[in-house]
Amino acid sequence: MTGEHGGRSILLVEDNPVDLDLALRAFARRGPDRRIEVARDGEEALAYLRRWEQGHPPPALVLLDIKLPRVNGLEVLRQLKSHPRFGCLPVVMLTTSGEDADVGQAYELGANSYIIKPVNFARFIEVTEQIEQYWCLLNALPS
Amino acid sequence: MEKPTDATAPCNATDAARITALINRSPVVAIEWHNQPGWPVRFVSDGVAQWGYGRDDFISGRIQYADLIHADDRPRIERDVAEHLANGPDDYRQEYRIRTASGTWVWLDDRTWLTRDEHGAVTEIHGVLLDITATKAAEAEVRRLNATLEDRVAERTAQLQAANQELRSFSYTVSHDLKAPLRGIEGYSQLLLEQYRDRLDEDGRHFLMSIRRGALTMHELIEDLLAYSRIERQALDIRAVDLPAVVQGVLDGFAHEIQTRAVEVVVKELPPQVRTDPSGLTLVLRNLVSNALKFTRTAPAAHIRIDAYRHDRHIVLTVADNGVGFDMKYHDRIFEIFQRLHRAEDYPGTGIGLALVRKALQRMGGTVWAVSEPGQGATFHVELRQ
Repeated sequence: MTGEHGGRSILLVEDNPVDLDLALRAFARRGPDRRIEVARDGEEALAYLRRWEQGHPPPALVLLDIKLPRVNGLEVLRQLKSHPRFGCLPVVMLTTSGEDADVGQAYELGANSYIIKPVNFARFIEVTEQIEQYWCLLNALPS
Repeated sequence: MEKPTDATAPCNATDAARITALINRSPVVAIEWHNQPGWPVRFVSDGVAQWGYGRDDFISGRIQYADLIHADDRPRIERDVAEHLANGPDDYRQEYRIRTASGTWVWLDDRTWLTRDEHGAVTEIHGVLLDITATKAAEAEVRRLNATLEDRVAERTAQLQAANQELRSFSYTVSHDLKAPLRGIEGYSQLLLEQYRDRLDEDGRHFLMSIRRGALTMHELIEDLLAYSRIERQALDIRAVDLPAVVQGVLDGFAHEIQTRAVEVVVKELPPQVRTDPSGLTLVLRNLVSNALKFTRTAPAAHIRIDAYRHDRHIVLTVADNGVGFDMKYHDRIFEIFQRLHRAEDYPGTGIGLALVRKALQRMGGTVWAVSEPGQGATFHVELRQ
């Protein structure tokens, strides 16, 4: 499968209810087509990985926060990126922390992109549009 | 005329007696040993009384000198003496402890020399002993204090490191946790404004806009606080920096405001290179230009001039404006964090900008000061040590 994964979902890993609600509203403005799956902590995110192994269709993109309950985002990232089959799935870090240590570590673990959540909601809407356009429509993935 | 009586005995005594009297009054104990096992004493001066012994204790052979030496020192002393007796040198010095008659221990500085017969065999061992217990105790105390000092320095360093670490996690918490509720206020107030605008009357919209302005100010405050704490943690990177390029880069960042407000910006001839930390210099200039723009907002023809001059070996950059200026009695306050001279509604800002400038320069080894008069503009001077 090259290019044609426009119909695939986005897995959003986010624990904060406000950020989650705003992110869902921002994506909804792009139209009702984009299916967003949600994991509320690191363990739920890793449960998705197990489901893909069992045949559940994987998403086009994982949006991953760093500070998460139970298993943190960097550990989720490590497990995703070292997975023999799903290691190529793009993972975009979407987080508040602009700490050099976090950014550096995320890239070392194989993050495809690192985005600091804008506080301004209008800007956040733009960011979600750009993320979806690039990673779900432009970017090609192996089948 | 009568001759002096016996009361002046030393004057009448022989040289030997005189010297003996002098030695007996000195803190030094003179001693001679036979070169025989146990080092029997042949002669000892009266000074030995300071350790509670009489001369006869030794001369009679009741006390063997070697038996007085501390068990921890004796093997070393015996080994060294044997070495000197066999191979010289015949003049040497040793430190060891002996037991006093009351059972306490004193440290001795023992200066020894040897007499040999015509075959080279040692016949007599001579020594002068000086009690150095007080010196030894003082040395030990100095060592103990040094060790304690090192412990205390290590302890303080650990405390400082812990405090530093706490500050790091504090700024991390600020960036992460304080911004999250802010995104909620910002996001939902925006949605309210978009989706419910028609259902709010003018008062309602005013309240909503005030909430949004508050959120914006808080956002700026958090970002500035983070920038302030980040300065501490960033490693300095002092190198040759293209000064005109940095100035131009900073001005480019304000191009929109400079154009729309038609601010006249003049950059004089600057030294092509300065030795400094480029990101620190950029931060300093950005804040000073932003400041100059802010406080010329009401000036009919806003004017900003960037210049440089040499002071000793150092380079001083100046950023001058024709804005509202300030009274020099507030000079030091303007560089303190959260200090403002104007009401927020007149000149918005967090009160961190100039504090950032000063802090960045402190780290870079530079200084900042300003010259101003109310209504006459202000000139900020930035000294960059070269």
